[in-house]
Amino acid sequence: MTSRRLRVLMIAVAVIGAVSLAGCASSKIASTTQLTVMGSTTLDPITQVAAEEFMAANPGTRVMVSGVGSSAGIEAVSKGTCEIGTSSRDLKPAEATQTVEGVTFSLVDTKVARDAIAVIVNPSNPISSLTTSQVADIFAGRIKNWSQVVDADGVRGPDLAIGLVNRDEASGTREAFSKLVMKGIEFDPTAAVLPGTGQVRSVVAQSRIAIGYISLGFVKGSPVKALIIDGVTATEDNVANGTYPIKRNLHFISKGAPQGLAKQFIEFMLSPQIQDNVVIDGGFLPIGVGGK
Amino acid sequence: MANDADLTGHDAAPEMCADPSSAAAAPQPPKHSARRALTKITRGTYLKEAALKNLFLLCAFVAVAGVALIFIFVGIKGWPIFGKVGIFDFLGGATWFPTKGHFGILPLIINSLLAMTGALVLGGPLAVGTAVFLSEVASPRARALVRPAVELLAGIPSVVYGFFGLVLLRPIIADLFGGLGFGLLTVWLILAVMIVPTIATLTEDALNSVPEGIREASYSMGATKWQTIWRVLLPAAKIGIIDAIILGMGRAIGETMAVVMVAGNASVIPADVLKPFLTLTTVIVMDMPYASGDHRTALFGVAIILFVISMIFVAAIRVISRFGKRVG
Repeated sequence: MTSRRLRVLMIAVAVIGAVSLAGCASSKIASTTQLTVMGSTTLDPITQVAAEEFMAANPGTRVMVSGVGSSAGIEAVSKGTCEIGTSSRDLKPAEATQTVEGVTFSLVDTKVARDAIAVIVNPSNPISSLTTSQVADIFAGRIKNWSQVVDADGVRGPDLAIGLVNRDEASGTREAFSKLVMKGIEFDPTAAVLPGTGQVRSVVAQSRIAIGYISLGFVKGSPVKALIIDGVTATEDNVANGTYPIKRNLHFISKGAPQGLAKQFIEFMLSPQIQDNVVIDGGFLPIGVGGK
Repeated sequence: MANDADLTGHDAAPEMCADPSSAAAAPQPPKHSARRALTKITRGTYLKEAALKNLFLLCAFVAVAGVALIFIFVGIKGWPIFGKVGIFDFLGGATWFPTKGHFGILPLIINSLLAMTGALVLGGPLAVGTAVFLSEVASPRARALVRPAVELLAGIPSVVYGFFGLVLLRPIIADLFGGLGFGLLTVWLILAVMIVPTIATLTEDALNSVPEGIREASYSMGATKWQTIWRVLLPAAKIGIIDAIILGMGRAIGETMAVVMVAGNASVIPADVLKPFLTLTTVIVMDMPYASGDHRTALFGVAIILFVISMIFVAAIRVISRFGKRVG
């Protein structure tokens, strides 16, 4: 009786082993048609849609997209964890060419869309415009109360402490904002640090004292107010004609020149099907528009 | 194998060599089979017993090996930061700004302790009160309702607590007290609820293990229910309750997901309970995705500190329990 049970157990173990071995084998075969894309939370929504359309157009392929932050994406592609890293900031020189354990490689940057960063406040906030230097003073913690803020129309803010909402250091949006607006000034270290664009937006939408910054693509249709910066409204037209000051490129990063499925996916991302529909629907601008 | 033989001892040994000796035993087959049925375990049973014993040994080994491996791995990864920054500058440095080369985790240690202490002050009495209710006051029907609710609290994933705190509690606190709602107050409220099941279930066990005779003695002296609970039962269960509270402290200081969502993650000691702050656990989850070089090493250094803190808690429980046994 018991020995029979033992035998059954042994057979079960053998079967499980065989199945899991087979599983390993089949996943090894499948990996040639599987692509992993990691990085910017800003790029995540349009990359997800592009991945779905790519998989629909190329049956048998799998594209897995995850938004972990631009720096994390660059780190992942450098380490070979993913084939494409997405980034909402430029590569740093130290990232562009790296030497790891004696092997030197360079990361190749393909620009896939253009984007602007909107400075957002709660719709109930009377302030509607700021200069870049006012924004920098606010995020540096030099201006701590809304009553110290006067906008271009002469409207003064209410007597409330400013609730600063910053992004984490993995964020490409933070990196780009730091470069374009802060220009080397440190962020106020007491600001709240939130790990995603969506969180910043929902906190600002709920709190009338809050100010934050998110990609322009996330403003459309959400209950936050994008401020006019240096007299220019944050619209796609103003990004395209180059007048809106806080703008940047969005990147796909590959280790060396993209090959195989990664190359296909990047080409697909640059095709009119994605550029003229998905990118624009996502609130970004096609990479061909507006120049650098 | 030698140990296995010890376990089942002399019964098993003759059974193992039953086949070669069967010729000698042949003259009295009925007696043999009767003895076998009464006093000997079958070969199958013997094998099963041995297998089970080894299985449990394996279970225990996996637990110990897990702890040892984590400790070794975290230690190897994090140790260099102590050499690089210096252990005193690491533990006592007032600035945590790793991308600028500042690796002082004092603010994070203080913030973790602040978060834990507040959660304990709010959640401790709540949990002990719940346990007293369950053990001493509640009718069976009330107990049948409250106990599963408390157990359910323990089963809720911490990310759900965090989400609840982020979307529901945080705006309420922001409306009532100003600020963005990220801060110690929100974290205290969330953690206080989270540590209730840990402390309440263990405290209830401690109260239940107080012999019934002690209660009867107290009542027979004319003590009221309240006097019995306050003067007799709680002191009698003191050691168990302290253990429960220390475990609750461990839960509070180690909690990560729920805290990261409502703490606001500013790497400074907050000016008041409504300002954002970063703790030892949340810094790891915030920074690990992108940290490299010394920054990454420093995060493992933080993990070593967390490991040491939990070792201190476990040691405290052991010492207190031993002390309690000697006194009791």
